[in-house]
Amino acid sequence: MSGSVTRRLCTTPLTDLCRGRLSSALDVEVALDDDLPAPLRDLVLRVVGRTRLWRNEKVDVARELASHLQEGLDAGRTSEDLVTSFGDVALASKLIRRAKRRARPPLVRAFVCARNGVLAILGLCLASYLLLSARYAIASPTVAHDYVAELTAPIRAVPEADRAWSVYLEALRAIPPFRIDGVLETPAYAAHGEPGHEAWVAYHATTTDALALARKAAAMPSLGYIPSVEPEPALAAIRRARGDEVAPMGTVTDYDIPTIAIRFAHLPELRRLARHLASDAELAAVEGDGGRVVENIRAILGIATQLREVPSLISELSSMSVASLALDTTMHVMAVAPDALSRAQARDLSHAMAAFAGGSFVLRYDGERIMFDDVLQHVYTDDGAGSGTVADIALLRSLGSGRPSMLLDVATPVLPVVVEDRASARLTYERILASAEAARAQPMWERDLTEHDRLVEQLEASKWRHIVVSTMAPVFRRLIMQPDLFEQQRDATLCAIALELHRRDTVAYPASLDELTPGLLPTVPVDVHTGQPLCYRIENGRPLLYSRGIDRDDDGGTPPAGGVSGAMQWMEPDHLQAQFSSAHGRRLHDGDWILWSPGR
Amino acid sequence: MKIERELMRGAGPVAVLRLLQAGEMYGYELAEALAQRSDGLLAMGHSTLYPLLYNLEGKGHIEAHWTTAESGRRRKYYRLTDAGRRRLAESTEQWRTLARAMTGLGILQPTGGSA
Repeated sequence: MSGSVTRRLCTTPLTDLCRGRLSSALDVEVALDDDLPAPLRDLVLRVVGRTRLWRNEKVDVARELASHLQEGLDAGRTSEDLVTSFGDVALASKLIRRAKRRARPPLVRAFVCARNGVLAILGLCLASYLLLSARYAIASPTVAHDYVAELTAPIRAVPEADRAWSVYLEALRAIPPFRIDGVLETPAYAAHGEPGHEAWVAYHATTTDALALARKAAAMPSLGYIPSVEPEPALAAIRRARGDEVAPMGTVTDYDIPTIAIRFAHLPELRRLARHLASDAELAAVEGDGGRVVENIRAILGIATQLREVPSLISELSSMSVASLALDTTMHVMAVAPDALSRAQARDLSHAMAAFAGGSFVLRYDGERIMFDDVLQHVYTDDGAGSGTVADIALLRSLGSGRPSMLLDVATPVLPVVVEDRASARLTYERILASAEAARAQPMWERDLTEHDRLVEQLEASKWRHIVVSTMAPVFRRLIMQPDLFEQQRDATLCAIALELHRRDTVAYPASLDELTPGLLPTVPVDVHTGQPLCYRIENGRPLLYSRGIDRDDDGGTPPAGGVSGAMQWMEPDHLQAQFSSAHGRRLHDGDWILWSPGR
Repeated sequence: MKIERELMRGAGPVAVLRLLQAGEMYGYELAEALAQRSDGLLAMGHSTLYPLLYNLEGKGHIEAHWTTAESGRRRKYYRLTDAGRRRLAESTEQWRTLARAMTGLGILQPTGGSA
């Protein structure tokens, strides 16, 4: 009885709540009668406990068994006899469990079945995840090849005396900072009559020695700049003296892939010198010094040529950009001082520009391939047969958003299963590159980007699978078009020089471009958008040279409403068209690309 | 003589249904009735009887309810449902057919009437 009181005290509503139960009605021990002898009570609890049924089912079974045993006692049987005749406890529990579970409502059984299925799947996933985590922890990339050495080997092979970089450094040292009212400014050419002209002329006079050095360096056979992951002390000192912010020595990058961490610190410096040379060319033209104009533009082209020495896409694009500066400067000189150049000087300049990049600028992807292979060896394991699995995603994190990502943390061990293997990544990258090169080989007006776009879409559709390739592959669509637009500018510049020479010879511009061939031009330049000759007309006695633009319509030499700044606007029609249309509600390219219109 | 488990598995449910045909009974009562009316041949321990009852309940052949007896003891009574009655009729017919076959084979003695 005391046991009963104690148990009741232990199962008050408050204690039930403390034990995490809403009611003691579901407590098997409480459900049994107090006067059931201990052996029988123990028997019932053992049977019910082994059934692993739900609590309410256990209580029901316990009550029924206890009732049965009480009946037996009432009938005069002993506890021992009842325990003996009960049968196998384990078997009873098993059969009761099976029968009770079968008796559950179908909906409940379906729910339990689904729950168990989900739990089984989760368990399987967890086990797989743990296995993959262990595998990822064990795997590590094998970095076996020094791609920086491969990248720089041709430059190292150049004799010291042929390397221009040390001369460029001298030139950079000789350029004083440009300050207006004590504030450091970027030097920019200001023509006569423009604000800041006097200040610029005064500053420019101090750069004479530097420009002479730059011209000397540009005429040398090799740039001789050896790219490195470490900042170059001499260049850092120059930049510091100029007032630029310079990263502390030894700070490379967050990721440790040498070819990606390479500093192309020479690029902005050479572009800076090229701008100085361009400004000097414009000043020389106004001063009537044609020789200096040619020297400067030749030097700019020399820099552009030397920039291609380091095989990398950024060097290629920088080279094209610097060469474009030479073209723009020439066009400007021809517009503001058409008689500054002698006939011989104009021809000399034409030949220099025509010869640049072997006559046709083809973007080289050698550096990208080397860089991609370096990435592969830092990201993937090496199975010895040209393949492997992802083993280090530090690079992907660094080149991604750079922000901590819990999703990526959790997903990391699964990446080797999701991301394509090393051989496949190499193949995917090569396919995209090949499609870009194949498209580049076609004239712009016949270019078919279907295959290239299909491959790029595949990358985007399976982002995780191709994450290494999509992280590393540049936007080839733009790169495919860029050289065409450069070539169009070059053709237009050569044509402009020819038009001016024709004017000198005949006192008038020709009525047709055909009149320029073959004496002043080998052929009539072609419109890259149509494959037809460039459009040309005389308006108010001045020449107008233009491309029909991406809409391929001759709009009579009318530029798009609102104007278009820069050749690159004519590059990616679909993309830019969509962007511009949505922003301004009209077509961007409904007009012509004006290439040469002096005095207009 | 002890009946083999497979035979008991077939006979047990129909025996219980047959007993419940007369009226509702509780577990102990059923166990006693089975033992007495089959001369102990169909006597079942807890480990057999209650799973059997829960199975029949799960199939809807019987239904249960708790009642407090005059003695004050709570008992769980089982009674036949309509589905149970149909099941009993089918099983009875099957057993009779089987018995006829066994008789034909000389395993059972002809009794000259049905149960």
